[in-house]
Amino acid sequence: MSVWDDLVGQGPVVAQLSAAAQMSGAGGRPAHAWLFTGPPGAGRVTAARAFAAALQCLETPRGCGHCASCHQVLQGTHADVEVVRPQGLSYGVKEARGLVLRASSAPTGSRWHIVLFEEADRATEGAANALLKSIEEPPARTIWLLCTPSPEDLLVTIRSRCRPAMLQTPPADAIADMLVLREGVDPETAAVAARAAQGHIDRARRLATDPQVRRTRDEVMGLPRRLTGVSPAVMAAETLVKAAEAEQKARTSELDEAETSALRKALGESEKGRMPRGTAGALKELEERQKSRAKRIMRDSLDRTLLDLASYYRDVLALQLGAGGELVNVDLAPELRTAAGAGRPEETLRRLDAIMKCRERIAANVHPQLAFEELNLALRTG
Amino acid sequence: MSVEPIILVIGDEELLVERAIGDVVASVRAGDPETEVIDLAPGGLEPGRLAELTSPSLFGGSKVLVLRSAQDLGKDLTAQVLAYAKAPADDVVLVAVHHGGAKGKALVDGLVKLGGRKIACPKVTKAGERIDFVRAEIRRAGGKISADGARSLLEAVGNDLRELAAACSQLVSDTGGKVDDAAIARYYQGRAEVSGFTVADKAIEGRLAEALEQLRWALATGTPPVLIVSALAQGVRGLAKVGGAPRGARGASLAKELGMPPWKIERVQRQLRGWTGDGVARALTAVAEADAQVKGGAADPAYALEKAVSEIIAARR
Amino acid sequence: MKFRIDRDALADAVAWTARTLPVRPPVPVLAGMHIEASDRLKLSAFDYEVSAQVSTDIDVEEPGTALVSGRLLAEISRSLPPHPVEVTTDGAKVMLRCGSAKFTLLTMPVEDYPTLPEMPPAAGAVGSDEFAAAVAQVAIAAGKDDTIPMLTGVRVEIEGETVTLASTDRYRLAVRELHWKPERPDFSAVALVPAKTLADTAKSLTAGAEVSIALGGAGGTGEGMIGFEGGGRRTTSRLLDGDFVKYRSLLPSEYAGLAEIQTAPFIEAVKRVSLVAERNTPVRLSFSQGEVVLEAGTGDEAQAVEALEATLEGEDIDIAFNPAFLLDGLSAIGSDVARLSFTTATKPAVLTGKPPQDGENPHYRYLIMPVRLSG
Repeated sequence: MSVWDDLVGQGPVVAQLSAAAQMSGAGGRPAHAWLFTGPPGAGRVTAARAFAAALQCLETPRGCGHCASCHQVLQGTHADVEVVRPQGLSYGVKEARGLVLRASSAPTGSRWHIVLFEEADRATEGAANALLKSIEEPPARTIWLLCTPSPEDLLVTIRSRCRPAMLQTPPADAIADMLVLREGVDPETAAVAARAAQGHIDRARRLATDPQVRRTRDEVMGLPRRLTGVSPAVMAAETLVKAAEAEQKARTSELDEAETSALRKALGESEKGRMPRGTAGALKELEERQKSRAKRIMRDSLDRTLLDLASYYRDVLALQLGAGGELVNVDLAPELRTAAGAGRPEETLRRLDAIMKCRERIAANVHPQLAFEELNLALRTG
Repeated sequence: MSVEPIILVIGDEELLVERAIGDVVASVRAGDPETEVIDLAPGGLEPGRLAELTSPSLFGGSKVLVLRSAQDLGKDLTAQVLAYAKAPADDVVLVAVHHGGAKGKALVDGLVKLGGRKIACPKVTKAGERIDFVRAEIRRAGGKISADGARSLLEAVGNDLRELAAACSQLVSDTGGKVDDAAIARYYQGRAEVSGFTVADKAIEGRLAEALEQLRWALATGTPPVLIVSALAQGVRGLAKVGGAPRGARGASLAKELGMPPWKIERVQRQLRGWTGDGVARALTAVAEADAQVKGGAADPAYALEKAVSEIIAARR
Repeated sequence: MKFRIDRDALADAVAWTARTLPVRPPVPVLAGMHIEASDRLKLSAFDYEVSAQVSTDIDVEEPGTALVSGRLLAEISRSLPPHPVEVTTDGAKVMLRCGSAKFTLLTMPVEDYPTLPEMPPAAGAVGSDEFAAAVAQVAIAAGKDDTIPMLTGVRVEIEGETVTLASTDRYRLAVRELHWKPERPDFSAVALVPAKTLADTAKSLTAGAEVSIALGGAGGTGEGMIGFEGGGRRTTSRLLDGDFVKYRSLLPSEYAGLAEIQTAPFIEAVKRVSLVAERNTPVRLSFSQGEVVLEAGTGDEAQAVEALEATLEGEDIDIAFNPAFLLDGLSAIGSDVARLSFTTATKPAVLTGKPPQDGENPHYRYLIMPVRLSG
């Protein structure tokens, strides 16, 4: 067992981080600021958290995953590892200043005082400038771990001060292996799920283990077949949006319930379910956070639907252009070949454009059903 | 103290405004390293506090008081500021930051009349202005860059002045002063094992699967999309240049005319097999489209690039 | 886990520890109170900055640990009838039996609870009441602007038998000296403690007669921490990083004028005069032989005027201050008579109480920077 167990297909990064975690004192010390980047779903935050655990680990070599310190870091409760998770769309200068103040203190009994900033690209420019000084010259035992999708998402001035830890898109077979070994999925299902997830580990896990998620995907991938006329196209939009909503609700309520129950218990819920005075504030805060998250999950769910649909047409395009290589949706190969033969690449390209346009519409807050109706009509004609 | 007691920073080009404020603080600090800087957020000046804010602290020394969004001060506060400006304190520099519009004009006029120094920071909008900016930044950092080099850098980095300024300072410190195309390309390659140029070559040679795979690899390892687009453009442009060169021209004279080294010309000549003039035109259109999307903040730059690569290959047939 | 404990002992221990429970826990387990029963009972609470732990006697039958909602435990232990209390774990629950009353608490994963910081080595002891008073006098001058962390702390300087507390926000500086009993006569240390935490801690450790202060050297155990212990209770707090300003050079060594005013009327007058004026308007003090005139506003149109009796040694002087800062100092000097010494109207003034014996040095000094007078 080790702290790196949750990472998939990131051999070079793990080697780099593990080596750095062994350093301290006489042998030199690890760089004081790190930037974790990589494609969505590859495991940026997981890698940062594993690194934090390794840095604080009580065993030798560092990174055991089971000592009290590793456990607390991986659970997110360790006293000297502060996890910053921007709540809304952005993280402002006031919060940044508070963070800088906290980051300036020495660790309370561990080796390092670590600040793990998930989604650091959400920091406003003012916030980034407030953080800059501390990241340039942090106190001797403070280490910053920042996570963003790509290096360009951060101010160049901050970026240049960080050691890069670049995660790569995990290869499908590495993901499939993980699913077989850790989730007990059969190899065939694992292979299909891994490919369809296009490098997104969590997505692969859910496709492989949650029948509802698989059903939603089947629904989505069946769309091209159902676009036989204007009326079916419009109705299909409603079905798609409902499916995405159902998936989002299931996911959200799963997360919300666990969190709310843990917090209520912590704040002193009685056996009969009554809460003590003065706890309403903390519960309200949690509720707000959950609402924001639900919105994000919904947007992600719709986006995921569109990306899945896009992968269908990219497979078709690849076939039409005679590009070898493996298809994303291997389980639909025969249907994809038929579709490829039935049209021209220009039509497929137009369909892909329509999907991207739909993504923009949804980002601009157009009503999802409307956006999908527009999309389906465009997909029908090509 | 050598810095004027009243300074008006006026304009809406953020980087220049921050620079101006920074320069003032630096000049004051040059005379007194312990200078206290009070940077009031917009709306942060409370009525009645001006006397206290412009009084020295226990630690003594100079002060720089920055009033942001001075255009929003309102009648009463503007009157208080102007009253102060009539008899400013010796060791205090008041910096009023105004965005340059019509609002709060009374403050601007009043301060100028009382002898305040004006620092203009107008927005940089034209390409020519940006090229000038880049060249000035490089000079400021102690280096040199040609107009073409500045254009390349603008293509690679984009229009944000802050990013450009940072890139310029890093380039000068990396190269020791002479910033040429090779330096710019090197600066961006970083750890990416595959540059945009490899993607471009594969696309031009019609190897779709390889091109797409290399593209995905380049993106996954952090190569900025703008750089890949730039490489595609250069590749297709090379086809056009070499393809359109007069028959019989060769060797050193051709190299000179086209501005490309002979080995590169030979390579492009090989790549030209399979291409028609029309095809090249279509490929260029595809790249232009991708360029617009990537620079315009498209929702999915990866898709825009994949599409361009596919279209280049489709254009070759 | 199974043990018996005296009802009052439990209620006191839980109540004291519960003060450190965070109201908005960053993670749910921090809302829990950690229970550890071995030969004694240890209750702990933590909010990542400050930790609190109390140790108390019990009759232990089976040692063990558990994590339960701190608030709930506090409410329950407050309302227990006057009988011995028996505490047992039963699966995922903790049961409290007291007389005929029975309470059940759900447990949280105890292994998720963060390891509490280690206590630094004990450095010496000081009287608890005096400590609380001294801290209150100094914490009042600490800055609240977190862009300069150094100014939000209280500097604790230990040199042999003398402890000096100092804090400033750039515009006023409070310094208090007190005596204590160091473990080693040559002990010397410096620490910067967050002001609010120090004030809360000092106030809450007055149960025992003395407070032991624990402070390590660099690189030793408990680096970056300070600990306080008294009456079976201990707390730790993170220290702030950074060098405090060299404040000693700011304290004037001589004065040109010295005024004495009755503290209570002075406070009332400043309050009245600044109420009438706009908030933040400075209050101007004009000292002459026998009186001081207070005016709100430093310009030509004074908005309120009052006169008070005052004795003055030296030249007449007009000097203005931020009224809130002046009031803070006057409330802190702890003396019926306030003494204000000045050099010029633009240099810091020093506010102290009148020492009981003439010629004695005051233990507390409050330095305050005047505001520029215009017109």
